[in-house]
Amino acid sequence: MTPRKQQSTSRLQPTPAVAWPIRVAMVLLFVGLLLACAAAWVVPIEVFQQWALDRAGTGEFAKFEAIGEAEFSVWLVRIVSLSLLIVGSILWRDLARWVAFVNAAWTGLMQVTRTDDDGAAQAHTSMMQRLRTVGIRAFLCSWAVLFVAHTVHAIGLRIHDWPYFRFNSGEVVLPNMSVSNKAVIRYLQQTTPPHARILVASDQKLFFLSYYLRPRTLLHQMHPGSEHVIPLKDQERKLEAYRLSDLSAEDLSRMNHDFTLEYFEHPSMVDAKQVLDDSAWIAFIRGREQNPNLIPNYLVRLRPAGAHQP
Amino acid sequence: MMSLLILLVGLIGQWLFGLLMASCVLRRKDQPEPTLSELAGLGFAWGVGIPAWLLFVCSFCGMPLGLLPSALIAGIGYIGGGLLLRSRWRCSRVAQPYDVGQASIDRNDVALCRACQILIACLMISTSLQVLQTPQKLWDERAIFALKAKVLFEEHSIRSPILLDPDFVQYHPRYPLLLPLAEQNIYAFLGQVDDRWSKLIFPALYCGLALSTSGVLSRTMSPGRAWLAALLMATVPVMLPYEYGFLCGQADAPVACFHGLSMLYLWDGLQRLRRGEAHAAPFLVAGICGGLTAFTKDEGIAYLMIQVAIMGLFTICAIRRMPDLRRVLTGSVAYVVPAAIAIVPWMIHRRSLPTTTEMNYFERMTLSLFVSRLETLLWSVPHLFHRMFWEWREWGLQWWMMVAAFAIRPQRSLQRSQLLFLFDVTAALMSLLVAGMLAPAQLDEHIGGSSHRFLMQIAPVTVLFAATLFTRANPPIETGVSMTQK
Repeated sequence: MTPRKQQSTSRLQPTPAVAWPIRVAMVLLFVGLLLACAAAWVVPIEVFQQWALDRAGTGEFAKFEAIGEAEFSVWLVRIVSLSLLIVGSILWRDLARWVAFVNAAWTGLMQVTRTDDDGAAQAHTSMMQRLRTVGIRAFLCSWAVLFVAHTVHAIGLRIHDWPYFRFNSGEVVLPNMSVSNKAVIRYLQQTTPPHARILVASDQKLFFLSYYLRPRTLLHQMHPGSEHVIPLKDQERKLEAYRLSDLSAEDLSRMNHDFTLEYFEHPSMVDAKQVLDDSAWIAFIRGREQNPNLIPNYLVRLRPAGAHQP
Repeated sequence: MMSLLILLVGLIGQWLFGLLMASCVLRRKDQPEPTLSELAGLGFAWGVGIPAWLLFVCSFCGMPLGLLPSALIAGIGYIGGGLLLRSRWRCSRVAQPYDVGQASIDRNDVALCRACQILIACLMISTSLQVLQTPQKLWDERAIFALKAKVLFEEHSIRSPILLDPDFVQYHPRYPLLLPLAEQNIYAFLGQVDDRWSKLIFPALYCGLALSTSGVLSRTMSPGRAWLAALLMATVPVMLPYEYGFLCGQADAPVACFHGLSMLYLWDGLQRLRRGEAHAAPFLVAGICGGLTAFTKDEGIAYLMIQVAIMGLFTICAIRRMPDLRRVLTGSVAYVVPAAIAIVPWMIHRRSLPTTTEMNYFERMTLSLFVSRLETLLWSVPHLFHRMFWEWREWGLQWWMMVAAFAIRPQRSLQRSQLLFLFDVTAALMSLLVAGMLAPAQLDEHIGGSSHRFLMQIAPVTVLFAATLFTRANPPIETGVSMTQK
């Protein structure tokens, strides 16, 4: 008999009845899912959001996060529970076959994790081989548990991400950067034409600015002392940088530009007398922060090319 | 909505293009058909890598980047790959999977296959959804790759004066362009920059690695075992769901994919040599994947050098046995030539790029520097072992699996095809230590902040080492899960 025929005849064999504990477990699972699905779809999202808000911490963004996370979680439960109900219904129609499938897959797993099945068939297995087999199975079990734990953690992270990203592109969100970086990006987007070439003197790593400000071109002569230095949060580490006055006429002419920007954040690089120099910037940041008396603690000074030269 | 539809059509076309390329390299008249999972897997990986490389060559020759070349590649994919898939589909209706010439495959093994396939499919869907949920948000993915992708999309050329300007604000200007070009390719279909959609290439590479693993391994082990190995490959936590793995736009996971595939096919080639079969195809695939690794990130050059050295060593070992020597030599040439073709244009173009923020390892390599920095090993060696074995909760059990597999099968671990993995891992770890000695950066920040990502790049090799130790002693080559055998 060919293997194909063997397979088709095995399909024709009557499938054994499903044991009652499995049926009961399936029914309980189904009822539980139905209740969760109904609750998630019938109860308004605002109820869950209010519940989360009441339990939010006192952090700066805690309430914002709680509302967004509750929204995402409810939608996740709605979609997952509905999908599981549909899948469960399909399984239920042919439960005996699916149980047989799971049993076969389990047996298959037991077979392929035996260490004594390669080469010629052996009449008996040694204690060492049995130990190896048990070891492999225990290892695979640990592997699976670890992966499930990581997956649960990842789902938690995605829930946490939702309030901030909400299917928006990076251009909209400006993720994972300092508040000052974001403000400078928005300011330059507002005040410079799209294809402007901007020469920057700064003690900041400007890669994110360069990325989000495209098609503007950012030019910056990096100080060799800060080329391979990783910046730390809140200016904990000073990055060596050239001031605009340090650049020679040759440098300035080489870096053909339409605007110059001075952007310094480290206290030792900021002259308090200069922070209010750029009136457009001050108006912008005060409007952004909704504080008409704000005096920023970092220097941003944007000027058209040549304006900084005496 | 229309642009998303164009993107979807374009991406399917490029997957078919990758599948066509894989089929062209792997199909031989005197050989059984490669499995569909192998072709589909390579199609995913090559559907990202080869179009990016072709776009690079086109732009290198002066052709502007944009929708036209991307659509052309997709068009070829639809015509060639579509016809190929159609013919295989017809064949598959004649012969069902697992049922021909595979008396050893029982229903339990088929059920295990199906279970693993279902789990891998769920993982792929979940990965794609997670990837699309967040835009590019990490340091390297934006500062190095996404920024270049934006410039390439806007300037339509790899020779853009902006990328050649040493004062333009970009990180690692000399990093290879596979990812920027692959992202640019997506923007070309989309018609605009959106750094969520450009992340779609990463789940494709993840699928490519998992599916190819099952496809290749099913040639030498039962399909159940092969798919279990693929499932293990797909569930290494450091590659997924860790944020710096396949869920983000950084280059470490793509390097893991291409390097893993390269090692997988080198192993396959060596296995065939061991059985006295002379086939260049696996070495060709390994060479192309090796070249794509070097075109993804600079570490790829080190991996390429390691693989060339290993093949050279095997050639020297075979020098006394003439028929063996001829086969190993053929394999080595078949590996080196496509790898060289893949990286030579890039190496030529690279010389015109600025060196700002580059570490210049090769230029800094002097004996005096080595000697003066020897004490860094006192920190970096324990750090590396700590990362590999002690921090398994964060990065996964793959290193323990490698050690356990060695302990269970010590003799088989020392066969030539298995030594390939051991040499590769050892040499890769040594390169990281050397990089730590040479880098002009603070050691604990440089190595400490990146060693987990480097170890991710070789994680597939550890899984392959363990999985391939459980092949049959004398496997028949026809035991693969074929969709077309008659």
